[in-house]
Amino acid sequence: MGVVLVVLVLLLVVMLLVRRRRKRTVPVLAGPPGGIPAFRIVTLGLQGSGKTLLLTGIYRRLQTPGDRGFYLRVPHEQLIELNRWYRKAADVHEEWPRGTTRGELREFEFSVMADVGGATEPVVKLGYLEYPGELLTDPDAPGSTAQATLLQAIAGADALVGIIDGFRLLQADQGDQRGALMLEASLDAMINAMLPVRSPIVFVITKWDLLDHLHPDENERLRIVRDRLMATPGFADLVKVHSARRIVRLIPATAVGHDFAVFSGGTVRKKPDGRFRPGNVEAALSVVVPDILRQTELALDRATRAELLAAAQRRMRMSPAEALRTLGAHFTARAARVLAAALGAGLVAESGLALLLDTLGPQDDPVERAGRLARLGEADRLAEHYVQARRRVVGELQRQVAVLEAKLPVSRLGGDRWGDW
Amino acid sequence: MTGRAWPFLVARGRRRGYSALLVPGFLREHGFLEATAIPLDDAPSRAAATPYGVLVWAEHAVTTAEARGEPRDEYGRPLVLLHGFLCPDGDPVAAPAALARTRTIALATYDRFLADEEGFRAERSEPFTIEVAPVARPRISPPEEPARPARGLVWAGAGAIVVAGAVAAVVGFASAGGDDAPPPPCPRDVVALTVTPSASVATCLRDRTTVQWVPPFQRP
Repeated sequence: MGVVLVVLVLLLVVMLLVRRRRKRTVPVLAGPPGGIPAFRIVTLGLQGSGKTLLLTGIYRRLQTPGDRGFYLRVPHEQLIELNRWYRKAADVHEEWPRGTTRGELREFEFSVMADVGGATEPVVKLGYLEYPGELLTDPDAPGSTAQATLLQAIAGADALVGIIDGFRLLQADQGDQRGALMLEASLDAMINAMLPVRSPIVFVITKWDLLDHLHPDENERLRIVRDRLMATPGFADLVKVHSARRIVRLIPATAVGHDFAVFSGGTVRKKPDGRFRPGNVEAALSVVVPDILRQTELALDRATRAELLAAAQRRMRMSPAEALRTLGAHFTARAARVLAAALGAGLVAESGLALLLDTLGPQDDPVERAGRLARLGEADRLAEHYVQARRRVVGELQRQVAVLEAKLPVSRLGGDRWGDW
Repeated sequence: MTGRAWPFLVARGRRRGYSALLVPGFLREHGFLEATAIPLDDAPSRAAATPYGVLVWAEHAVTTAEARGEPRDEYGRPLVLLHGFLCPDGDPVAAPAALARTRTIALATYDRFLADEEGFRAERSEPFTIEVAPVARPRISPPEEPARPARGLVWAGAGAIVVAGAVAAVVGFASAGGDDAPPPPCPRDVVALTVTPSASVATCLRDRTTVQWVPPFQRP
């Protein structure tokens, strides 16, 4: 009997040991500490407004690091597609790309690649939805889910890019009633989609090269267009509403350059000897990420901002891994709730908040940073490298926005509050 | 064998965006047409299985004569037709010939569309016969639901078996006089406690080696 009891006790002990073992198993997180911040960008533009060429131009412009310290990378199959569009657009002997069909609705995934401790790694991910513009204006076919997918993407976007077709502006300027009506229709679509959201918005005038004749000075040209747009009641209201909590920008861009295409015979044609030189295409992207951060900042009440700042400062004195643990355990959850209440659910993901924190706080003293790095373990050092890489990318994007503002002060439509960090 | 081919056309106009302009007459919902028939670029044609049958399509760039004017939209983009047929009866055998036929049908529809883009409503197509190979459709049965491990039952079963084994061991000890070495204690890295009463009482993993203890009365 005693032996049976001993066996039973042993069995119990074994069971307990197995359970304890299971509890001790902690999943090992792969990838960069805190994950890669990911933002979804959705453009709002009617068919033919230049969404696809803008996407192509953004990628072509940012596919190499240049002097900015980061570059974009896309999955290989998307790279093939972008390159095909580019060849179609840039070759004067080819037709323009034929336009996006409903079956081609998909998201392009840009990885922002930067130096992370000597290796090139993705530090931010940007999703860019490619879709046919008629989904914004035409009824969907019975049984199709494309329109629902688009509306869902708009509602869940971290930033919205309103595409104002320079071709329609040109038509309206020339007194073409249909052109003016189509311009209004595109603005109506933007108003409808952008007015209820709280995510950052930016307006891009595509085919800016078609408006060169308006004024020799680009800033004055932009002022003429801006005045016309602001004279549209709904648009002015949209800018006013969003300006209360964010900076609203109007960016002129040309995906082909100022000496490539011409409007003649009722259609836009390539010049036989045209030179393909896109301009300002990447500006929309440069505005988006810093704006997401700034709008996050503006939306927070003063107390929460103070808490965020204090947390960021505390973070500077602790190891990144430790800080990220703190962020995960307490800070993100709490702040995300505040953000959700202030900005609307789903607007700024935890990754956005993590990126915000990366960019906050006093600038590092290089000596102190070197000392801290020396004290860190390998994992912490990696985390620190990611933090620094993200800061560099955001800093560079902010610099590009500052250059744009210096060159085209009129590009700021509204919103002068900068917060008081 | 012969089957039916229902022509369709997805295209954009000079002003209107992509939509289905010609729809197989038997369809109630045709959203899948626009979602499936995407531009082909370099391929001459493509086929895809859909819930309504095999969809075969080709691309055709509209010429100046076919467009009766500028074969481009107002943005300067070429006018392109995505035309083809839906075959609910099997795999079409002579697709190129059928595609030549649907191109003619599609161009007629497109001509009417260009004449009045805003007022145009999708037309319904009639089928024509085509040679098809019967499609062997495998019967799809729902996968068997995987057995869900009932942790409590497993533990109870294991416990009962071990207890039974322990009782057998006690009997064995008693009958063998207790001069055999005791079973090796299982260390902490035990990953399984399996018992097959007919062969062994206890098995454990020790230094990556499976160790079994067999009571003396079961030893050969």
